[in-house]
Amino acid sequence: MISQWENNLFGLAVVFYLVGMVLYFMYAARRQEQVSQWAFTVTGAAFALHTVAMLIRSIEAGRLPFSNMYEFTSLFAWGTALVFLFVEWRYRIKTLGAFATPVIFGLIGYASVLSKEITPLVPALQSYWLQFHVFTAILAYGGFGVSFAVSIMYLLRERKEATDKTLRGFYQLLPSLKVLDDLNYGSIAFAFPFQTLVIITGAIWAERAWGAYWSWDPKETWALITWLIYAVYLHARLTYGWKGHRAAWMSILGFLAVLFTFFGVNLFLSGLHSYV
Amino acid sequence: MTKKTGLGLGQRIWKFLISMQLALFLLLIIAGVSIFGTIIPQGEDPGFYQQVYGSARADLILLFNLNDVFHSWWYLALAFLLAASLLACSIDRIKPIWRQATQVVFRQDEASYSSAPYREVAASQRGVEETAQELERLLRARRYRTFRTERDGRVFFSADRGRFGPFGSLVTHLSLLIIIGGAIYGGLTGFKDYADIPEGETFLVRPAGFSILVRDFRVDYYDDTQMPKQYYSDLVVLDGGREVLHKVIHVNDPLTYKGVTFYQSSYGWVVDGLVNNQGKETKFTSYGRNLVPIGGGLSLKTFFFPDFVMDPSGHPGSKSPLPNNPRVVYALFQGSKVMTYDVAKLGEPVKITNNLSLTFTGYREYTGLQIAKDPGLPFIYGGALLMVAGLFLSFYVFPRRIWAMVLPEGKGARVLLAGAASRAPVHLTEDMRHLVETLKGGGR
Repeated sequence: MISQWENNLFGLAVVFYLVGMVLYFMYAARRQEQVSQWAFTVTGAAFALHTVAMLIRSIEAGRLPFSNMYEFTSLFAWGTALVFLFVEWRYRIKTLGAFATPVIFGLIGYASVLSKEITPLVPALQSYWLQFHVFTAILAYGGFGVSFAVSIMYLLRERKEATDKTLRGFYQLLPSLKVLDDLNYGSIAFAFPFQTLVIITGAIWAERAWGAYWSWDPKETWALITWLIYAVYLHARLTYGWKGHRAAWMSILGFLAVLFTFFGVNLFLSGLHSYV
Repeated sequence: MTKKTGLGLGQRIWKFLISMQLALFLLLIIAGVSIFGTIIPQGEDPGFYQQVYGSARADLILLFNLNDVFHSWWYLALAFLLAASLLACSIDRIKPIWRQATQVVFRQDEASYSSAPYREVAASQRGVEETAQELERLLRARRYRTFRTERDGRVFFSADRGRFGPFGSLVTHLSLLIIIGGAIYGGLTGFKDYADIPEGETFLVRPAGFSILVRDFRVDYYDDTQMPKQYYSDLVVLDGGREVLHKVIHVNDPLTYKGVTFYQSSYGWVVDGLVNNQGKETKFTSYGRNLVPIGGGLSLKTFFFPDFVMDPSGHPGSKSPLPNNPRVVYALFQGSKVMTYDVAKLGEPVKITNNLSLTFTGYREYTGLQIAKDPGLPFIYGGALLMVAGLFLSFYVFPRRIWAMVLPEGKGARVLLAGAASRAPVHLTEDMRHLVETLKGGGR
């Protein structure tokens, strides 16, 4: 059965993400180059397994896996893994894994306890805009997830630098504050246009489905709040000198808003956007 | 008396509007107050807030319009101020951005190279002209636009790439203004309506002056389930007494005529019947929620169950959405008091008093249509498109500039490089390192 395949591959991906995370922790603790290589390879393999599992699910469902809480939580992890793997491959920042993989594992772990049942699409979800809306959300949330991990790294190194003039052990591995600040900016600059597209595609779709492009629904409003927080980050950092410390906190605040938009709104508030 | 600042009132207002503090303050405040609009239920009756929050807090909520945050005067004032700030900043930035993108400046002074934030030096064993040509070729291979000048046996370059990037922020800010303008224009000139229309009936869209006839409504289900797959309404537009347009709409596929759009939004059942009052028969149509006066000081409310079943606790329900066992549950009211509450079959007269009786003769589905006209939409969508273009220009184009001076040194040449990048300097430093390494390597 195909669904058994999907289930097994997904389970294996979760295990690989876990092993990758543990290896990144080991690298941070022992600082052996070789371990970071393994960690990268294992996380890459987890990503590949995850991708195949999602493809099988797409074939099985006859549509992209874009329509319920399980599917999007899984994709959130997938997007974060995608951006993280790219950043590590491109910029060779090996300690990033110790901070990004817990975010990925937390998301995929949560996804694995959600109902995996494939349900037919309700009429409102039968729209091409669904694909654009979710696809842009994966990229935006992936970028924001990585910027969150980078901000934690920034604040850790900064705190250590304040007390210790010479950085020892794990702290030596962390990139300089300037590099971390640039990377934080880079991840958000990558994600922000996609976050904008999430809101725009959502608005167009809402107009087609419900007759109003904006209804101040809690999901919409929280997506806008997230957008505003990152807009503040971008303006303050570029033209107001809020680099480094304040930028890192702003970025963390932004990611908390992302998490609240995605999880919090469904758990605590009610509205039109009840599927995910 | 206030201190003299040397600036007129207009200039001070202008400075205030283009200041980054104002923009940041507005963005943060709008984000912050929007949270109230998501945690406090919006648009309820005042009594609701009294009940949920207690009278003291309910008074505060009503005083500050927290029951309708997004339409309150102070939210609109914040949005208006943000729009003013956006407009002022855009106007303020046009000139410098234009100048930066179009002006070509050479650096002919050695000191300006050693003080540049990004700089490199390379020695080449080839002559000045040859080195200069090689440098120009390398810059062009990296997709830089190059300008060249010479003086006193030295060659200077001014090269740039992605010079349209800085226009991104301008386009983004202007697009937001277009969107805000579109929203205001749509709000002032458009309208919204909602109608439950039974099959076979016509609804006049008053502000538009034409009617819509619902020929049919149906629900498609996923195979062997009761999960709705799609809702369809077969609609005809009647304008000036003529059928001008026909379309079967469904969710996500509305009908538009003369700028008015009809969206599939809801559905349900209506019950048709006859009242016999002292031998005089009158027809009625009853919707779930509406009270129908039937004479004798009585009024009627009906609930239709297509596949009727009474559950063990005595509550009526429907086994399926298909009309396999249609029944009408009705209630008779005298004022607000319920006189009778019972189940009736279709076609069987229900006797109420000696000379008053009812017969439920049939049932139909009604479709619930959202009706909207929003002339602001083209601006909203145009603005959105511009915004996306502006943001990708801003964040996916990396504007960078490289200045170079090639001067003789011994038998070869020396190359001084200076660079500038407004964002993502990593791309610039990579380019510069590539230039230096290739120039050095070329001499061997």
